[in-house]
Amino acid sequence: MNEEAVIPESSKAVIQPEGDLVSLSLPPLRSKMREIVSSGVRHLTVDLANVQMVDSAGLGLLMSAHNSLRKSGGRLAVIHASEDILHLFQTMRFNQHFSVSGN
Amino acid sequence: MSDFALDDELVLDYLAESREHLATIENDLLAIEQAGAAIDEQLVNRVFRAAHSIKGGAGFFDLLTIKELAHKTENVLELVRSRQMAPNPEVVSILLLAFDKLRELIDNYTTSNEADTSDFLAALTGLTGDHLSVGQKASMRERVAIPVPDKSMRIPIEAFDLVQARQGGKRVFLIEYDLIRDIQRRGKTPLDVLKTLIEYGVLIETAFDLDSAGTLDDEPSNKLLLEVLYATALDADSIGNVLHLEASRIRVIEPGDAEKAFAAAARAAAVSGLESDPAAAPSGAPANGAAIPLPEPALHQPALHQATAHQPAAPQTALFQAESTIRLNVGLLDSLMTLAGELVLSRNQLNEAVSHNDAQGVRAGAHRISLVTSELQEAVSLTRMQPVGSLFAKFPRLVRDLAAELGKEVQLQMEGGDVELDKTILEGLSDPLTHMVRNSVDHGIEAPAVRIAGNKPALGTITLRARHQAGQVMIEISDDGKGLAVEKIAASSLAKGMVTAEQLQAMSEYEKLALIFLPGVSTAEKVSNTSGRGVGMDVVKTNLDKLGGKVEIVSTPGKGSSFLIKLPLTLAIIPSLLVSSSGERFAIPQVSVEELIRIPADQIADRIDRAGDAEIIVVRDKLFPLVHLADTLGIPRPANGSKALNVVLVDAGSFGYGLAVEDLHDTVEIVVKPMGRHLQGIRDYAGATILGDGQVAVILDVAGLALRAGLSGSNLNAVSQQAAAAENGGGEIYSLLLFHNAPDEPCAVPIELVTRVERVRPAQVEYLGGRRTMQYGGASLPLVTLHDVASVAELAENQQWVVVVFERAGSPVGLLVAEPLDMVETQLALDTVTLRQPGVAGSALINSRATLMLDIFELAETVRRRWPEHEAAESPLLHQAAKGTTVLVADDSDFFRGQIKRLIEAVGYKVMTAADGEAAWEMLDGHANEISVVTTDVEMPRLDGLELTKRIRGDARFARLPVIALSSLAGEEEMARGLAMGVSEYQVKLDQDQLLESIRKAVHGITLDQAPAAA
Repeated sequence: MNEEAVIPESSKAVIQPEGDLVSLSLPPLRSKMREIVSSGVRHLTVDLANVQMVDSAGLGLLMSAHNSLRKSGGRLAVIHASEDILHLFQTMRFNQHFSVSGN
Repeated sequence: MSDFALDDELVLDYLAESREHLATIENDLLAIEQAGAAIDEQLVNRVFRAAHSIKGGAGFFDLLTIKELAHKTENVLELVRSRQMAPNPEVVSILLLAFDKLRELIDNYTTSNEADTSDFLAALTGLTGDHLSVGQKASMRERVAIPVPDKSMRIPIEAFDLVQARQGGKRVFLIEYDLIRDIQRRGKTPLDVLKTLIEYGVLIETAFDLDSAGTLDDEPSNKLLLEVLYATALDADSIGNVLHLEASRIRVIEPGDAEKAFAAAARAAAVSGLESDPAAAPSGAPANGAAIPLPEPALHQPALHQATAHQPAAPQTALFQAESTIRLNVGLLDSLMTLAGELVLSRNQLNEAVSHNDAQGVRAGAHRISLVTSELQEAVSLTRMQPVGSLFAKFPRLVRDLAAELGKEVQLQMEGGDVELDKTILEGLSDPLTHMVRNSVDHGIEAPAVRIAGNKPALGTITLRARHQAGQVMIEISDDGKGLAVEKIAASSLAKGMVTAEQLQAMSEYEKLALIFLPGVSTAEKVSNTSGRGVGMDVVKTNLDKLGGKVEIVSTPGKGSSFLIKLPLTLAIIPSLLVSSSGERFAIPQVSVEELIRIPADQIADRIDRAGDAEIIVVRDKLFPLVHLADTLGIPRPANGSKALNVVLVDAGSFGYGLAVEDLHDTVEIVVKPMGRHLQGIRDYAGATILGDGQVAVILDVAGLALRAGLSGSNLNAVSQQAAAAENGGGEIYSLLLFHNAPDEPCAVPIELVTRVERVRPAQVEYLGGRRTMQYGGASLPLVTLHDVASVAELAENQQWVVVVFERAGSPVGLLVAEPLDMVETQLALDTVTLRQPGVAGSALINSRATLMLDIFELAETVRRRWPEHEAAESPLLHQAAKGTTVLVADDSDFFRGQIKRLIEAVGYKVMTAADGEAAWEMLDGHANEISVVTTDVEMPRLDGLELTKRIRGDARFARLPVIALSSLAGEEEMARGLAMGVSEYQVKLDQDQLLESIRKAVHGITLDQAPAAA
């Protein structure tokens, strides 16, 4: 699982998970994101370009990230979501909490 | 338009279907109105669909006007459905009127395209257009919030979505998913679950419980809660099964929950900001204006009022026209078909048997045909049976509209709509029932303010109830209003000349109520749009008579009234009792038969009394005139001195009587055949029938027979009391105290003359020089017995003695009598000849016993003669002005004339008497200067009291002569009439003190008036 934190530019960061957001792959991603947020990043963007699937725990992770960023006054954004994932996020009204965009 | 070649099948189908739709629309709309803001989508949808299909068909057949009108109603309904418009009374009224118009257009569809519906269209457009301009957006966007139980979280959604979700009978649930437990651990993905959800219902809204996710710093949460607002037709259990969730996670959201939540949510949003994230409320946070859940549409009412004014009741009548087609259960048709097949088979069997001279076969065939016939008869009559509910269906609207028009609050309750009645009867019932329901709203139920003042709920209730009873159908229309004004009905009948005053006095309360069925009698204070025109109840009665129905009225002043209609199930075949006289058989419809009485020969003398030339039968203390069938038919009565007498007690509508017949036979079902044209004028017969043996029996019309025998409800009492009445006392109702002298010697005195009644023991009575006294109120009370003055038996020691104390010119006198005591209110037909003797004014039949009417004043006179010292005590009470003053007493009852005369004389006046108004006038005319006061009975032959008063007032000489009217008839109506005629005072007969006081005042007044004139 290679997550790359791309361009940690001042308070902004983009992270691009290399595979699906499913429970097994989550712990490293979780620590990475925690790291990024605690480093003072306030606007975290998750690039789902390589993600085909998000399971429940994956949704939980995104929500945790959202909650953490909210605490520090920051924001989460999800980009390059596949159609299915976009649909899932929209259905669950995630888009009401953070910005979600598709391919 | 012109190409109604399509006419036949298709158009007719469309029309029939549209009518059906329209028939249900009305009640649905009323229900929608009643539900108000709590809209029942199913109901609105039904009306919407009805309007929609009317529109669709109309488009197909080029019925443009109908299409347009239907389209506009659809628009309004759509707004109601989407909760953008509250179905308030105005909206519903407009819709109702529009649907009325649609019905009218559909009934006259060939000309419908030319019809002018502009008013209706304008009104409907007014509703919609108006509404759209009133910030439709706000209401479209109006947001409500669904609170999530046990959490501070709320799910904000648009009210519109929630409403939409409920369409089609779906219910809304709040489902809580745990993404980990319910999805992850079951090896599913959230997307799978969402797909399942969408498969079984509509996902309205979801909300993720952010708190359950924790932050990145927390351990990965093992509980991620997703709240799903879900609409489905499934019930909670099924949802649980489909989604594999336990019941506690599924909650039903009622429409009210959202509304309640809304206010709270709006407040919460305004105060603290439920969701500070701006993205959370994308379509704009609820503005203040959005707090109004359902904006009231401002209406363009004027246009509509014009619309109604243009249509004077025409659509109304079209509304109730009889249908010429009938819908039948296919099962019933099938069974008819089967029976017809059976009939053919039986006929074949019979033919076969006849051709072979097979007696056994003929019998079998006949038996079979008989079976099939009765089954067929039953099935065919079933085809004519329709639920009474189809008739009831129009009343909610009627009551609603009428109540609104009259400013009353009325609810209609209906029971027994599934009771079935013959179609013909049902149709005939429409008008009478409509009229009666209208009457109930118009006259029965009071205005809300009046009701509240009368300690009743402002909301009046009218109940329509249908039920089976004893092979008949009972339909009851009752209201909890003010009841029928008996006296008004009586007065109105009198004023219209329907009854005479004498008849009226002889009438029971029930008979007076029944007067409402006479033509032209109305009790409405003012003629309204709907009733009080004096046409109606007589039509009701006539129509019901035609249907073989009967009406009974029960009315309690202040509590309400109730009309009970009894109807036969069907008209063609009626159960009847067969009777015979002189070998001829007659049928009496069972509905008219109250009971059968067989009087053994040795009891005939006891049970049957003679009153003049009329016979009376006593049944459980009630008197019924007896009519011999043989007499009315003009055939000699059977010479059966030793035979028992068979009496059929029949009900002739407003009264009953006994019909004596020679023999009673079975009750059979007869098929009614109308009488031939030549015999139709005869009222004694209602028709004829062919009996099983091929003979003809005529059906007796019990009301017609009564007429022939000279009976009618109002003269029954007179007839029954004629026996003891050599002279008619006018039939007024008197209150009498009954007691006994010797055992079996009942006596009576008018109760008004009695001061007190005291029980005494014989030992209390003191004998002083042949005179009896007792201690009473600290003084000695002179006692008198009837035996003292009249030749009657003496009181026995073993009787319970009673002293009846009455006053004579201020001094008490005791009359010693015996128990039992009783009080009656009765008409008094006094025979002043047969048993007249000193102290006894005459005799009368009271409770069917000959009773002595005592003359208290004559009795007192006896006392005076025996107790000269008693006289002295009276003098202070003599009227000062009495000397030389003459009072004219006019009363047609000898008894009362005598009583009043003695009463007045006792205080010192001179009294002249007259037996009727005419005599009184002659006397007055002849002694113009002598008479100072006139007391007159109201009801008198030749010239009644009021006419006498009128004549007196019309004469300059008597312009100021006091006239005191005395009557037992003392309703407000009578009093008002009396005062209008110029009566100085109207008194209830007979209060001695009041009368003497009035005379004293009158005389005093005159002397005062005359004094200055003389000076």
